[in-house]
Amino acid sequence: MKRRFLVAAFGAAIVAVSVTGGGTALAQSKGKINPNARLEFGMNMGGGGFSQRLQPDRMTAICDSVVGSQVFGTLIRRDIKTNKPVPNLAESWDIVDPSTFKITLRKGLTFQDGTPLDAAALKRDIDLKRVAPSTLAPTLGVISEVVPEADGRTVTIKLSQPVAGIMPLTFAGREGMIAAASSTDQKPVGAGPFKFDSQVVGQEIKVSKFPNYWDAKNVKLAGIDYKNLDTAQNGVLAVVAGDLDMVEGAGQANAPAENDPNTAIERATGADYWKLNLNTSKPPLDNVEFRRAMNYAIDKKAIAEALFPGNYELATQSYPKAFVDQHQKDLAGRYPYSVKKAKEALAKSGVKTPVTLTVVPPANNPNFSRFAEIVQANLKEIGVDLTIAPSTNLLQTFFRDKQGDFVTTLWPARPDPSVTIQRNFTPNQVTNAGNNYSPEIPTALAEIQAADTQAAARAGYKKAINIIVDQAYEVPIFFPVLSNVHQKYVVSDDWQVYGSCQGVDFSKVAITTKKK
Amino acid sequence: MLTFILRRVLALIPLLFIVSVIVYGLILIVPGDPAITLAGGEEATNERIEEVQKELGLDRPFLVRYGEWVGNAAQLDFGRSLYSDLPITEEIAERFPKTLQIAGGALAFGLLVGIPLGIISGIRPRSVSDRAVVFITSAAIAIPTFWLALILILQLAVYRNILPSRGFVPFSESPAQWFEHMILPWITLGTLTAATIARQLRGALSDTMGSDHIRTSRSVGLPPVKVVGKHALKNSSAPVLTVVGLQIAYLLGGTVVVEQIFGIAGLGSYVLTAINRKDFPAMQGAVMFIALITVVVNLIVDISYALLNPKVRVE
Repeated sequence: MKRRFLVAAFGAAIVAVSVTGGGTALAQSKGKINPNARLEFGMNMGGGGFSQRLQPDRMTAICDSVVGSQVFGTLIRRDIKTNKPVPNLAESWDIVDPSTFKITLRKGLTFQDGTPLDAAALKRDIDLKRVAPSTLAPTLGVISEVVPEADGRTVTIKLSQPVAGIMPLTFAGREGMIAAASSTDQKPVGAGPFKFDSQVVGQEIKVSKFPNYWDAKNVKLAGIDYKNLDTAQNGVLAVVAGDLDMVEGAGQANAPAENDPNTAIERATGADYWKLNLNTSKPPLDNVEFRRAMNYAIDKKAIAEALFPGNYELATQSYPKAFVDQHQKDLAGRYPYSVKKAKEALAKSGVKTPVTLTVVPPANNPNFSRFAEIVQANLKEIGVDLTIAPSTNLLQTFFRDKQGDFVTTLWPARPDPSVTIQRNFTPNQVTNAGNNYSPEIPTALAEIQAADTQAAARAGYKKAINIIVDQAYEVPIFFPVLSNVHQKYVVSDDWQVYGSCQGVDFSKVAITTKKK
Repeated sequence: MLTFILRRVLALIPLLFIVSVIVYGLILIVPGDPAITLAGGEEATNERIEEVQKELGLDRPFLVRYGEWVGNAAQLDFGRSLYSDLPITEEIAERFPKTLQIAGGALAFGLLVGIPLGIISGIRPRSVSDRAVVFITSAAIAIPTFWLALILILQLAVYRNILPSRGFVPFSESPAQWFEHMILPWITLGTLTAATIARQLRGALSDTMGSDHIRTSRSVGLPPVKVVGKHALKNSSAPVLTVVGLQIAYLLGGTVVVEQIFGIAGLGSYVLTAINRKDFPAMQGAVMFIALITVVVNLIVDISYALLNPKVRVE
């Protein structure tokens, strides 16, 4: 009797699981804005990408800014659609000369603890950030003096090198997040759109609308609850299941949301790119013809399709087409995928095959290993045997200890596009593993950094990019399309999708009354 | 019995010493230097990295650092996290209850499912029900935890929206929501435990059911419930108890995966985060704490075993 009951119960359970209907009908967009709604945003708080250090001068991981940008705001904002700097906490700025930059704050700014954000506070903050132990010292170390002006809202920033041209977009990043004197890692205090409320370390961070933010009338969310999640895939599933309002998407991980009636995906082109970072001082990678052979031999489309199917722009250089001031159209066809051309370049290089190289993919993300496996197959066709040696700490093994010949990696672009050239192709930069460069690149970079607009920097970019592509200092693969997956009741009339763990500009997002 | 307990407790001292050497020695084998990250990552200069190494005391001899650490650890002071700058003991104290709730619930699930399945299977070996249980438990043992979690999330949260896919709600905030959020982690983690207990109990029970005293009990007309419940189960419980002790260590370790997948900030995800960030003090403190808990649980199991079986005390 008992056995029959158990078997029946087991069978009923299986049938119940099989025939129960589909997901709940979540609210569709279009409806009134709910000013009391809080956005639940999923992000990985447990990985190496988020350090829990919420002070701008102490942040060590790229994802730290996703919270910091809301609590602190930035002096200047980069418009993701135009890639131009636009006013934010600062109402204006001026490149006085290549070594002098002037910035003026908006009137009446206050921090979330009630203290004023004026020229004196700005000077205090920048002086703190530009010297060690600040983790921003390598970028802001170029500032030699910060002088507050008599109006109380303007500071003049004197630079030890003629790089004033990069300052507007530099201050659109972590460098432009200004902290109050009372701010700490555990309780950050800024002048941004949202005020820090609480944190359960590794689990949740809560911020609420700051009523005295300069643009508070246009901030439609009551707050943001950052929730921990492990992967983009599980994050997207949580949005589809109705347990989160928004997550940052990623290629294939977005699949469950593609046809879901309750979710939407916002996309944007960013300048992050997947690439092979080569140690150009190691033979045979010190041979330009060998590097060209690699550029011909790699099937970029196969890699992009494997990792971000349908959501990419193939890379021919360090900037995507949308970056009109940096992208060089005439270089687009320089290295088409061609085994024949690769073999010709290899023959020209004089390198005897078979040759064995070692690639060091980061071990924390299987995509880098898949990327390495495709490269391995491609290079095999031209007689290059590739050993794959994953590393849990690329910074140490490849970039500092110089183990391996190249890495499969993702370069996360900074707000200022010139940083890509500076960090990868100029001397004494950690990410320039071979410390090998053409002397013309720093000269071109100086020209870029001194220009007062992005358009004026075009000539400098043209010179630098031409050299980088001609010398095949890297193998650029593709620019992934940035995406954010959200419930349809999360709306915005100006989606600013930052990607790279930066989410979106939450101050431009609202939630309708459709949210239960 | 007291002598037995004392002997067992004293044996823990060298064991914990060896564990502490291994745990602290992890710093030597885990690749990467936290000083690089703390000095600014790829933007760090060599000078700044050296400064940070000195600040962290990483330039001092290993034995000196170990001596200091073990002295403090003995007082449950594991130092401060390199990143959050909070005392590690406090962070563990905040996270451990969540891990305990997951592991405890998974163990309860394992017992509630595993014991009935073990009985069904063990009382009639080679019957249809036995073969069904063996098949199910074999499958449950073979299924990787992360895959099971994903399937459960898809079936019960994404497609059917019966349960939440992630997150944690404290019991004090809402008991109902706490329960809802814990069901999937419990099933995910407890499935292997249930299968292991069922198989262990099946083996022990089928042996016992064939023994003389059970045959005698049946022949004198005792009802089957009494034969199994009072006589057979009691004699079969000792090996199951051993398995339960081992399962507790597995459950504590298994929370690393489950907490990550379900976005719960417990001790398991704390260890993983510490490893990802090269936060050595946090990593050492948390692993040492888990080792301590495992050792204590094993001690309790040993004592319980001795209570159940007087022969163990004599040996």
